[in-house]
Amino acid sequence: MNLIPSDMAVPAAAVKLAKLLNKISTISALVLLLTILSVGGLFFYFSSENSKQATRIFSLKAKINSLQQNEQKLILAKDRLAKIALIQQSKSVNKEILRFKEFSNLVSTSGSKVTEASLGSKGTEVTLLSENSEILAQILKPLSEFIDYKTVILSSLSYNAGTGFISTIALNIE
Amino acid sequence: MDTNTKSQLNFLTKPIALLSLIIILFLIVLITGIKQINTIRDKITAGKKTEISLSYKAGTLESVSQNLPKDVTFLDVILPSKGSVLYGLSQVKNQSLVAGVTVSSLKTGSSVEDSPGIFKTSILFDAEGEEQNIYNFLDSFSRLLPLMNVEKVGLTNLQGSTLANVSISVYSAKLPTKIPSITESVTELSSQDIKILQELSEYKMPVFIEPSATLPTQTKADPFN
Repeated sequence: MNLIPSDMAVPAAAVKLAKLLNKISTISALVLLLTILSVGGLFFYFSSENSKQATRIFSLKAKINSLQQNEQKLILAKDRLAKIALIQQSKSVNKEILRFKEFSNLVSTSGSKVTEASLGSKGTEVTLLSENSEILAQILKPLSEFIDYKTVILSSLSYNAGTGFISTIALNIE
Repeated sequence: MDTNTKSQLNFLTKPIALLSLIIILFLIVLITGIKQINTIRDKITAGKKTEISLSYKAGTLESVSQNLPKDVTFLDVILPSKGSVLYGLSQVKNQSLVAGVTVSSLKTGSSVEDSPGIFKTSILFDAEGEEQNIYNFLDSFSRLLPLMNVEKVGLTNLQGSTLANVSISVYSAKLPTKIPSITESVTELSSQDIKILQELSEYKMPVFIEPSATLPTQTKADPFN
C-alpha cells in the first residue's frame, strides 16, 4: 500500500532518467578509471624511456670527455689542413721552376744561352743570346712545340755584332 | 515552480552532479595527461637527436687515432703558429748546402695577413751556383716544411755560374683557441684531408738540434776540509 501522497511521489519518467544517468555515470567512471590507468601507464613508460635515454646520453658525454685529447688533435688537424689547402692554392712559381728548367735545357741543346730570366706565377720573361741566325732559328722552332706555355711572345730581338742575337721572350701560362 | 517539478529536480541533482564530476575529472585527466606525455615525448625526441649526434661524435673521436698519429706536433711544423721564419731560414741554409749553392744577402720581410688567420713572411736571398744546382735548389722548396712558396725568381747567367735572386714566402697561422662544446658535432677527416696529410708526410722536416746537457764541471777541492 503506497502511503506517499500522489503529488509528492517522483514521477516514473524522472526515476527512469535518474537510473539512466546513474548507468552513464558508472560507465563514465569506468572509462575515467581506464583513462587514468592508460595515461598513467604511458606517462611511466615514457618517463622510464626518458631516464634510460638520459643515462645513455650521460655515458656518451663521459666517453666524449675521455676522448678530449683526440678531439683536440682533430680540431687542430682540421684547422691546419683547411689552412694548408688554402696555402696550396695560392700562387707560386714552384711549378714554373720545373717548366723553365725544361725550357732551359731545350735552349742549351739548341746552342743558345739564357742570359736573364724572371720567373713569376703567370709565366717567365727570358732573354736569350744566340750567336748567329742559325742558332736563333733552332730555338724558335721547338718553342712552338713546347706545349707547357699557352702563348710565347717574342718581345724584342736585337743584334749586336760582338755577341750575336739577343731575344727577349715572354712565356705565358695563361 | 510547482512542488512536483521541484521534487523531480531534487531527485535528479545527485546523478547529474555525479556525471558532471566524472566528465570534468575525465577532461582534466585527459588534458593534463596528454600534455605531460607530450612534454616527455618532446624531451625524448630532442634527446634522440642529441644521442645520435653524441654517438656519431664519439665514433668520430675514436677513429681519430686511426687517421692521425699519436703526436700531432708535426702539424705545427707544417704550419707553425710562430717562428716560421726561423724554420724557413734554416731550410734555406740546409738546402743550399745539399744543392751546393752559395746563399748570400739573406733578408726577411715583415709578417702580413695573406688570408684570414694565415700570415705570410717573405725571405729574400741571392743564390749562386751551377745552373742545374740552382734549379734543384729552387725546386726543393716545394717539398720542404714548414710550407713555403717560391714567389719570384730572377736568374742571371754569369760566367760559368748562375745567380738567382729569390723571394720565398713562409706561412704561419694561429692555433685554434676554442674547442667546440660537448654537444657540438665534429666532422671526421675527409679523404682529401688524409691525402694532404700523406703528401705532407713525405716533405722534408727542418733539422732540429737537441742541445746536450753540459757535463758537470769538476769542483775544486775544499782547502779547509
